[in-house]
Amino acid sequence: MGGLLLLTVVGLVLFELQLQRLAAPAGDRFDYARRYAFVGDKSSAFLQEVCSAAAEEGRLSGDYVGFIGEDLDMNYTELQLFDIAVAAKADGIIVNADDSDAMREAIGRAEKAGIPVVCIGTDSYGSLRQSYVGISYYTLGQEYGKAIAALASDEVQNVLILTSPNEKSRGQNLVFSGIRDYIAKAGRAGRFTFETLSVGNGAMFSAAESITDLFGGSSLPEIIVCLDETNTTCACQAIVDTNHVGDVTILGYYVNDTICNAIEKQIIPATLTVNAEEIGRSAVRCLDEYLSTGFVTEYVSIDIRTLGADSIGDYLSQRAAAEESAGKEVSE
Amino acid sequence: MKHGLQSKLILTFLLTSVLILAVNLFLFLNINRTIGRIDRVYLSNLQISLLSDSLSDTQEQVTDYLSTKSSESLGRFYEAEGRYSSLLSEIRLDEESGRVQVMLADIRHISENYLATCEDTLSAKRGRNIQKYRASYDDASQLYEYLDNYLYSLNNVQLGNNSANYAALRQSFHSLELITLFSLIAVTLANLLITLALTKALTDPLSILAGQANEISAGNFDVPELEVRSGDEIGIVSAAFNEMAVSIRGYIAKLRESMENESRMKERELLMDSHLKEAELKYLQAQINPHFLFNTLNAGAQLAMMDGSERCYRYLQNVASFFRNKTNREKQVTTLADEIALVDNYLYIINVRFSGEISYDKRVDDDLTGILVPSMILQPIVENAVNHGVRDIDWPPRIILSVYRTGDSVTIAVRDNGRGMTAGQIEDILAGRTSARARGDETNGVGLGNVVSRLQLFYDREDVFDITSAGPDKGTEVLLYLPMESPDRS
Repeated sequence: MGGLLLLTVVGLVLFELQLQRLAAPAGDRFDYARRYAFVGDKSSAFLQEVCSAAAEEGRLSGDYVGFIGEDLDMNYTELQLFDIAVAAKADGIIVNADDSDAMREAIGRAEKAGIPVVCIGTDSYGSLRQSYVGISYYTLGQEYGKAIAALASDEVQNVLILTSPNEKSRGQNLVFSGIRDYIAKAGRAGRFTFETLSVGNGAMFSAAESITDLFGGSSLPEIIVCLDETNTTCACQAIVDTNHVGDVTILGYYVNDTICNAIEKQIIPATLTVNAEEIGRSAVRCLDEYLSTGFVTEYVSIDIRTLGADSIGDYLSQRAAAEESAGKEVSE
Repeated sequence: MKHGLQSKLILTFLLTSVLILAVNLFLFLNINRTIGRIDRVYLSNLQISLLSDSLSDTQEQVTDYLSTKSSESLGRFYEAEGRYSSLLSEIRLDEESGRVQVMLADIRHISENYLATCEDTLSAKRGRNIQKYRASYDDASQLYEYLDNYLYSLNNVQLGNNSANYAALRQSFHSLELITLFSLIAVTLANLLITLALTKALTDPLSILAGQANEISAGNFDVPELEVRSGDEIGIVSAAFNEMAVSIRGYIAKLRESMENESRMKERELLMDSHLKEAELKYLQAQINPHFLFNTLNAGAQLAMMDGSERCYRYLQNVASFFRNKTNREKQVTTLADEIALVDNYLYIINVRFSGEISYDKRVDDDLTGILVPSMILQPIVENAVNHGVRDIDWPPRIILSVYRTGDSVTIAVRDNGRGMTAGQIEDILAGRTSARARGDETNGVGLGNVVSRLQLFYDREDVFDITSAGPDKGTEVLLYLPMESPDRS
């Protein structure tokens, strides 16, 4: 009889616990002190990684960091998202900027509204942003130059550098300069010819269409250099689709699943990447520092790393270990 | 009474009732809470829809005012703005979480910007600053679009969350059903067990008590003591039963002891009586030295024979025989012939003493004289007939001794023609109330009562003696009924 009563009481307690679980919020409630809006393409794996690292860093200091308009059903441009962040009175904005005037004006509106802005990935030269966290474009060009030089053969090879239309800026120019300087310095100037191609017109999905057109054309360069994640991913897919593997050598930027897979299958020889986590954490630290002191360094440099078939495995292992460690910290 | 049956029953039923009540209350409260949650699940969606409608209304009023500049549309704008602000403030941020929490914060801030921009637009309109109000209206419209999209998206997110909550609530309701069913079964079983245990605790001692009572009623007083396990009424009855059993056993033991004592005392009385008689006899024997008396009487008889006095000789011989028979009766049992011989000697002596006036007639069946009878039973009866029957009567006295068979018995009749007896006298003697004739003052010491008692003891039966008389001066007959077979004297 005592057992029966005990079972009844245990059942009731379990039910009460179930109800309490139900009453708990569906997501973790976070009473943040500051809300930093992350402005960028939420479908980009690179930016997702940056944002995730920024969110973890922000959690440590009581900041909420997330894509602005993450749950909106309508897709907005980065400029619109930036405006939304300003209208939503974010405490700070981390933006994957470009070097356009519109972006500079938007950053100016944020500054006017008293919202500090940190650019990541691509800098907005001449804007009123507080800081830039990212790579040195010239150094990036040198790294590409090193990779191109390693591909030198007896015949002259055409190198096509894919640029983005809104980034016809000093950033891309600096990359181009870095490549040429390194090739010249390496004494391979006569082995390569260089061209740039602006893919897309800035509209949605235009880059993918341009790259597909490129690979469907009659004359293909021997080497294609992609300066962003989207172009690299499109090129990896297009080279397979058009059966040009082995005919064209692609040097990519960043690592996502498609790019990683392409390297492992030796569809492309190498990709250059940066430490996205370091970018995200540094961006948050910059905003915190600026809001606390009113001052922050204008440029935080992030290292560049070249990944090939021999090093991609180690890179993935390190990243998995880092993600696991971060997951534990959050759950704790 | 500390823990009476009533208290136990009340406590048990109170306990089970409270248990059922508590379980039902618990379940009832939880069902109410769960239903309340279900009500709240879709409340947020309703709030967001109202907010969205209010936002559209506000934007419409702004557009209307810019188009018409009418006071009515301005009034409607302020109404719509107030309604929107009110609805916005009703959404509680602290009840939400995660991304919804951030979306709501964004909506609130964008709304503030939107309403401020609307105000600026209307102010510019009123100030006829066409360029400014157009630009401001564009900004407000852009913010309106953001807000509208935010609210639409928030509604979708909430719908997704609420659907998940609703599914979880349905699941918890299912769990509640199972737990309710299980709890009620468990409580019912528990109640059943409690009731069974209680009734068993009540009826078991009663059954044992009934069994013990039956044993005692059947005469078995050596029942084991009942175990008293509780202080209730059953415990008290059990304890009282134990005491009663002990008391009955004690009473029976005392009764038995008392009866044994009484029996021993009666036995002692009989022994004393017997010893008394024996003592009387010893006394008589001691008074007369039998051998000396016999020798003396024999010497007298021889002297009379030598003197030629035949009658004297016979007389002395009879006297000597009489005393020899009388004093040598150390044995308790003798033959009927010896008893008759004693009577012969006695009557001969009496007739010599009283001039031979008593006519003595014997009608004896010789086949019956060999039976064994208690000694000294006939002579006292004949002596009684002489002393109280035929002595001093005016007509010739006569005594008839008859011995004859009656069925399985031997009847000895001593009949005289003397004074006779009344019916009352006969009844007194037979009932043992008169002992006048039993005393042996004028006899040789053995009375009629003694004879009767000894005959009854000897044959272990009552109907051994009878007296008949036709009335005063009509004579008396004393009858002895002796069984043919002597009882086993061993």
